[in-house]
Amino acid sequence: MELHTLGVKGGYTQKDVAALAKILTGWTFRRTEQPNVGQYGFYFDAKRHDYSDKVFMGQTIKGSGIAEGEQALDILAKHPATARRISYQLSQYFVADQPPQALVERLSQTFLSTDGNIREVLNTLFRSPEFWDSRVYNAKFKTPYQYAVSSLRATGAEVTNFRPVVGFLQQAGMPLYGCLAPDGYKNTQESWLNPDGMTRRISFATALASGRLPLLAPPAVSSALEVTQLSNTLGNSFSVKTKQAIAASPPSLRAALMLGSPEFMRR
Amino acid sequence: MNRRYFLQQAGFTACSALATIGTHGWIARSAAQSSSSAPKRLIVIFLRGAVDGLNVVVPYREAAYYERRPRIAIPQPNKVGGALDLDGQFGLHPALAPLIPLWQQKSLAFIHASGSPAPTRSHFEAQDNMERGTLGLSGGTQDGWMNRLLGVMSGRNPIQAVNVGNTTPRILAGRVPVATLALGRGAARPLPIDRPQIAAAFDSLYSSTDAVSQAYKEGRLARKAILSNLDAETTMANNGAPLPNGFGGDARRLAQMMVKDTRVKLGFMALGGWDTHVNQGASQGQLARNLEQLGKGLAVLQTTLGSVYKDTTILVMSEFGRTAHENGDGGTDHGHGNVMWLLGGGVRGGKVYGDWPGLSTNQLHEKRDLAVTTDFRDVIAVMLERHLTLSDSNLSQILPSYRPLQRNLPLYS
Repeated sequence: MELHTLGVKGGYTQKDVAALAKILTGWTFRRTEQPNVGQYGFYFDAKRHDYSDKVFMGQTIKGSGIAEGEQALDILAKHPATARRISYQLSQYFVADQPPQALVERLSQTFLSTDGNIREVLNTLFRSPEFWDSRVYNAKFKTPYQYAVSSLRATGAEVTNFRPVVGFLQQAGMPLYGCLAPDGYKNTQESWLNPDGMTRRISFATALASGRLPLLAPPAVSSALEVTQLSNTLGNSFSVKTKQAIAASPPSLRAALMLGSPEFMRR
Repeated sequence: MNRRYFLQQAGFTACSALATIGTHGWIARSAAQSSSSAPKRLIVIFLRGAVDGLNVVVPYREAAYYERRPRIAIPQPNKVGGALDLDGQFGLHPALAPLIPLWQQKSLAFIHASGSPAPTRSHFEAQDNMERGTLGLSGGTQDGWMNRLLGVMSGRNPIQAVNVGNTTPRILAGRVPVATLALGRGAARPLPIDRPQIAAAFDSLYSSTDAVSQAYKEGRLARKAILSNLDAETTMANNGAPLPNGFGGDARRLAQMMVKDTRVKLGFMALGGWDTHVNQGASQGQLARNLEQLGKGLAVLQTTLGSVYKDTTILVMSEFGRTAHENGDGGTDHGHGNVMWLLGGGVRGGKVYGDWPGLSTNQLHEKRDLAVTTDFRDVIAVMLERHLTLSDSNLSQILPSYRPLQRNLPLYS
């Protein structure tokens, strides 16, 4: 409720938390395949279920077994706070760290009127003037993951040894599959723009560009990037200032400067 | 620089200008402060995941403690695996034996039944509250109280605050830049950006004043400072003296930087693994292993700080405590009141502070958790006032929504 549907101020109380916990009693899973019971994974253990009636989010849920959990999930999925929260997160990811309130409101409407159809919500999003606003183009600061992946894609680097990439993500504070909080990594500039993060990005870009990042499993050896090719891939997206700085630097550093440029920090 | 920062600074300048007209103004005072002998330091250690304070500083006289925790209670002192007696009422978890000398020297104090008045049992919300320190402020803030503290400290420099770890935590987030000391032995490993030619090329890319360029420049300055401070360590390691990894190693590196560089005033470290819902253990086990590492690390911090320790306060805190009852899995669940730890030269230690509320059902918060009788901000406020000698107006900048309730908490001599 806190992290994946309603949100902290989504209008639930500690009583709802306790009620949902009771509703979900008996929902469990098998870690390994066992004889006689079959598949590992989710199953409902009726013996461990609390069959009392519950009041959850103002609605009475009759004690009935696994159906209670389904009913509770429906209540959460159809709640306006959930619609707003998911709409906010999609807008934040695709448009801006502080997404326009009107856009979030329209997406919530779509969410509620289509029974939570994410395809339709995204359709509303991608057809919105806010999404196509030139001011939000290349304005989102990349997360370390996005920075690493976009660098590797731009260079077309073949990767058979992922350790240097995994190591970079670790140092940049975004370890792969290692998020401490269950709500996942943020995608805002506030979360990722910091002095040490910049130092790490530029070091990664420089090592990648010079072929010093061991991206190939031995005995293969990475080579330095071809500047012209990288420049063609990234197109004409650099500011005058960046172009001048690149032109004024030694040829061996130019690919590093492109990948480490202010423009490439954003998406 | 954002508008709010500009306005604050402008206001500040105006105040100081006025103050200098009088003879006891802010400028006069801060000059006096900076000319005084050694700078005061502060290290905050956050135990993420909510440490079980009732098994850290054990109320071993309480029958209710043993009734509620048949499998995980720490036995009374002088029993096998018993608590280390502190004051005849409380005992320390035996895994924290390395801290007993500090207790005896009276430079270690605890504040029991302390914490946040907010009722939340969500780790994220509770940590957020404690790190921002603006509970009850309408609109809230994005920055943390340690960053606001940096904002009121004089003599700004790129390594005034050092965060040990990868991402800047909420407590240090804000407009004043913070340096990062990487975890583990790799902290001093050279990076491409340390090479002059590469640095010069990137300097020209990031010469503007926008947020990304600012972050870049601050990163470069901090990097230089950290490298020069860690040189000695590299040499030592090369001489065949490997540093321990983990918390102890990180604590030592932070302490070494503080000793070597008087510009480093604040340090922050976080330690996880305290969310002991299952198989918490008692005198031995999961919690004991974590506490042992923490206790040893704090002892390393104290010995490495050496003479700097007398001018340092080390504050250990956690987002909330755990249930008074053990649960069905031999663990404890999210609770309320906890214990805060305070170490350092000026601390009036050898004492467990705070009003002890008791553990019988009607004394518990919501009939299940240790109550909070000391607001965590009281402890921070007293520390800021007595240790860092900050003024009332500074205090209200750092904890804007709070007026300390217990100004007379005698934590410092």
